[in-house]
Amino acid sequence: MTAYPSPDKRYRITLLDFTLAFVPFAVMMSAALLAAELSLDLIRYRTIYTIWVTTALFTPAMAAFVLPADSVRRRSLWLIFWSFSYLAFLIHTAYAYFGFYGGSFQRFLDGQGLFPAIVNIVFFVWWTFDLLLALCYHGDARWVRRERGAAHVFIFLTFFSSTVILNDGFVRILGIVMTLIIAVCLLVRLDRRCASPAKRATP
Amino acid sequence: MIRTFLIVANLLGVLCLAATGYLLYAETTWVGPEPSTPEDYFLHGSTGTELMPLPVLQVLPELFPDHFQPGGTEAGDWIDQFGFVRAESGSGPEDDLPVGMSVAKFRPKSGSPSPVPFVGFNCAMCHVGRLRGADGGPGTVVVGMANPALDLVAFGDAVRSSILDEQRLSLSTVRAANERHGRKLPLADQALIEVWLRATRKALREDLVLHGTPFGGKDLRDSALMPSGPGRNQPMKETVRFLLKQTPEPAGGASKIPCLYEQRRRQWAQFDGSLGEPNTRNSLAALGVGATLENLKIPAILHTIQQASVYLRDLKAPRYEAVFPAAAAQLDAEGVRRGAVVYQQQCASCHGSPGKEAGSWENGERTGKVIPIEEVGTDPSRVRFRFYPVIAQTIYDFFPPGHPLKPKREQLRPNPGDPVGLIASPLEGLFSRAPYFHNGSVPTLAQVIQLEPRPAVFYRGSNLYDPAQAGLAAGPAGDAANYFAYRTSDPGNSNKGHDYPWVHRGPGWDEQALKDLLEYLKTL
Repeated sequence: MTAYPSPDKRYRITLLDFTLAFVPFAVMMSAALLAAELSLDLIRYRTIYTIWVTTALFTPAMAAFVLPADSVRRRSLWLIFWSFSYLAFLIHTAYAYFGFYGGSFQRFLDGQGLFPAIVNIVFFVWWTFDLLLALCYHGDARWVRRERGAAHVFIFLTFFSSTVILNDGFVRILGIVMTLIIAVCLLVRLDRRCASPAKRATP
Repeated sequence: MIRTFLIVANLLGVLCLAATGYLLYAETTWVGPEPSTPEDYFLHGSTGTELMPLPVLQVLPELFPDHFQPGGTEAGDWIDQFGFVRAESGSGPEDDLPVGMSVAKFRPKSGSPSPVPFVGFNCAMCHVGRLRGADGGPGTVVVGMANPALDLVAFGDAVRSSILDEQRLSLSTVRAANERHGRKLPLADQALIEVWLRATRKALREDLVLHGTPFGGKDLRDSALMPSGPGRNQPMKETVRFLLKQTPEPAGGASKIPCLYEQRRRQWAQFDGSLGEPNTRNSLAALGVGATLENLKIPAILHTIQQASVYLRDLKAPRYEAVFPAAAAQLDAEGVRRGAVVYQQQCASCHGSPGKEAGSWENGERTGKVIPIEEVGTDPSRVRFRFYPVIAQTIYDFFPPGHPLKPKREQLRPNPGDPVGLIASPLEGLFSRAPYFHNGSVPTLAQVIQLEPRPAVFYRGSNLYDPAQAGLAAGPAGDAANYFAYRTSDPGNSNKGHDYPWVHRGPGWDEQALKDLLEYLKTL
């Protein structure tokens, strides 16, 4: 069994890695916020467009998580895309909660129903927790691997249901593309696992 | 090399975000300062009813002369033909627009900040009027008075018909028309005009099921097709439409625009005394003309709704002698004194009377109370529309919890057991409240008190004022200015009822007493 890398070498984000995530984030987020100017409701469309950006950045993060072959590079790419997609999600949440729902928790509950509201809260809390964990704890404890795996499954399923099942139009196309990419990565992982079952691949 | 490229790429990313951040900051500066006094809010504030970009309204009448000058060019421009009050020049950014058309940088419905100014309607549109005598002068503009000439429903149809016309209204026609006037539209304006036009057209098409296809051209002046006419609208139909997204039938008929003086003396607003909170009244009026629950929460718009109430609380009614000094000089002082006695005997118990202190009012035993419609005997349509028994709860439920304009439930009527009728109100500035009755079915005070017979048919529009009869000079024949045939036989238009003191030439009818009463009523 391959010895696991020591914690301080778990992630090493290079300038290239940072650029690969930051530049798309910057360009897409700027486009999302500016595109809303071509509407009659800035808050509504910024809320919509920023979730598109989140979905787009979540896709490489999830792909990096699912792909086999544990390496510092893959883990670093995962972390940087995970961070920027979270940042995009944070911006989306700010527009949704403080703009769309006027900062009212009651309206947040009433506006979408209790179950979706609970799912959204869990989504937000869990993603925040996992990101903080990744940034602050570089160990490879089993509970971390399980927590991270569960977080990714939950977050992916939430993205899938809200983009592909509950919506239509461009966001559904985005969701389908996301699902297809992740499905391909999963197939690659399964294929590699079948070829070499001893290897683990968790950021 | 690659490293340099990566650094440059990141810097460009930072620049993108910085530029976006700057735009987000700039948005906060578009809206501009709010009005500073309650009067300014009333006259110039935004009520969240933003209708169209200013560059579009500035050229719409010339692109659609058939809709905006339905009486032909000889009947005046669109401001004249739809009965708006012209703003005095130098009055502000709305110089070219009539009184009551506000200009604000809010996008329609959402209230999001806009780089392009949008035109909307505020309280002053309906509640500032002009009293003009036959002397041909400009007359007197009275703030708080209902505008009896304003044909707002017809104007709304003219606007909707124009927007739905894809041939004549497009970004290119708007741009070309503005350029003919020396106004070159910036790209941002053009982009937003295009966005507005597409979104509004789509919304209007979806709305055709509820509102029907709008009329245009000469049909706008046909009372058979546009039953509201000048100085009136169909408030209960429009209220139910935005509350319940359906058109009630029966619809409640047309009501005249009310005067709004001295609101502190009126605990319950509306002709039927159904609203006990003035901000609710203001917000329902705004919602009926295009505001939304969302944009009513925006501070500048919310403050207009609230400050208008503050302004109207103490707004004084006009005095007859100030508006018509020559006619007032001819009032018979002895007749006025005798008329005061008749008033006390016949009218004061319901309407109250002037108090001992100048400017005060003493309520009668029934002032501020709802008089059952069967007792008053006037047209009952206003209080017999579909959903009337549940309208109070419907309005209450419409405003979500925590909304700053949500009324208290006890401020809404009718409730089970409440009388259904019309409220007996004080009569300050009575001479300026023409036409009379809630449906505007009686042109003059002389006809209200049945000194003169009430006409079955008369013509409305920009009627001159008849100081002797104390009301609108509304004759039996129409012309370019007075085009709307008011038929009291039409549903909701009855002029019957309120037979106080006596029916015309009926039992007890005292012509001299009525002449004296008329003189006195002019002094209220």
